Amino acid sequence: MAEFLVHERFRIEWVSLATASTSPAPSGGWDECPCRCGCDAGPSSGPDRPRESGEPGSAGWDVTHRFHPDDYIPYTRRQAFDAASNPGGPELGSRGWLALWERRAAGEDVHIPGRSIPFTQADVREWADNPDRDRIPPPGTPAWEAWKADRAGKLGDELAQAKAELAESKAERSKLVDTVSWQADKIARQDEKIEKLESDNDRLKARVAGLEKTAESQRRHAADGAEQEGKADELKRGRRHLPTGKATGVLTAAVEAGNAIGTTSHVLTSGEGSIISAGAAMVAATYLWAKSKWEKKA
Amino acid sequence: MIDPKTDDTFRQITEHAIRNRVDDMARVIAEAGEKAYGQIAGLVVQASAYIAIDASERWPNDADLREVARIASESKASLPVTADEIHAYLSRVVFGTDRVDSVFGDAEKAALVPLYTLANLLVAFKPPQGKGWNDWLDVIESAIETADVVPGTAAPMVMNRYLKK
Repeated sequence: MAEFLVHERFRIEWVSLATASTSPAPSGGWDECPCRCGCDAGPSSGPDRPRESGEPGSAGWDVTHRFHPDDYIPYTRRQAFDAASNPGGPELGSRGWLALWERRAAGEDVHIPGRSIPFTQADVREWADNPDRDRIPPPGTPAWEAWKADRAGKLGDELAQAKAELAESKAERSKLVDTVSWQADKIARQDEKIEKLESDNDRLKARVAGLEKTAESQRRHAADGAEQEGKADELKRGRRHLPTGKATGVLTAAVEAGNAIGTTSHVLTSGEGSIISAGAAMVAATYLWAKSKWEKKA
Repeated sequence: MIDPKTDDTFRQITEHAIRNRVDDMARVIAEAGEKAYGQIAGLVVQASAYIAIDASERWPNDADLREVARIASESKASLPVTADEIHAYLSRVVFGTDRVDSVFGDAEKAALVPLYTLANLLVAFKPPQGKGWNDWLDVIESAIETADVVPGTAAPMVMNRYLKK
């Protein structure tokens, strides 16, 4: 009895929910348990029947109860919904129900008798797994289909947007690849240029070294030349140098003689004149002698 | 400036004089020509004056010239010229106003005494640094060249430079 009540409550609650837009549940409940589990549960005793632990509406109802003693599949809210939504289908929690699901999962078009809008296990799972399921219509209803279409549209939009973003991303990537490639080319060109500059630099260094060597050589030559010139000057100066110790006495005498005569310059001029006249006289004497002697000998 | 060619001939003649090679002296003088020898004769007189003055260490008086002549006549060159002849030449011709041909009546003497005097002076009074007479002539010629370009107006400054103690 307790189990029947559970079934009944469940059935009324969930069929009402699933068929809210079509046919409300009979106010008096069902004549027999819709799960056809073989139990001997009788008609509902009405809304005032006493609630027991584990009934819908009580704590632990969703996951603890089972339809049948042999059914080892946990009775979940989703399974309960499926069962309630398919009154002509296999019994909820039974192996038959699982087989039906498996057939649908394999792609077979399994219709639930009595339902104008077919719904699939995927629909049920989608709905049940949706954390916002309390705010969306249940599968098997036109509202569900509309929601699905709307969502598909949104998904399509999202997909299109994602595709556009992907394309944009690809374009961006391509652009980046091009940029990277260009940068790589540029770096390669710069490397080449740097290599050339380094090579030029080496050549210039060698040239500078050569020039410095030449300049050094020229400096040495110039220094040698200057030294030689200096030596020549020194020699010339040496040749012109008068022994000062002796010349001093000479000049002293010249001054003395000059004082006696009148002026120093007069003395020097007079001396120079006497030398010149002496030379002239000597030319006459010596040259004539030499010429005569040489001619005689010849 | 003394012409290098003249200088070369001057030194050839001087060397022949030092070695008493009369014929060579006559040949070089005759080949040089009268004009060139005129310049050489001037060098002979000036060089002799330089050595005499330098040896005297003052403006030479007669005693100085006699001593110079004596030393010169006793030089190692052993040339046929006496101290008196040298003295006469120096005092009357080099430092005097007489002509050489008027001092020496003999033409050969008049021709050779000046050359032998210079030769003796170069050999007798050559510098003590061990250099030869050619080096001595270098110094003398430099002095002659310098004196050639020093005007008489520079004499006071030259004296100031060398007489100042």
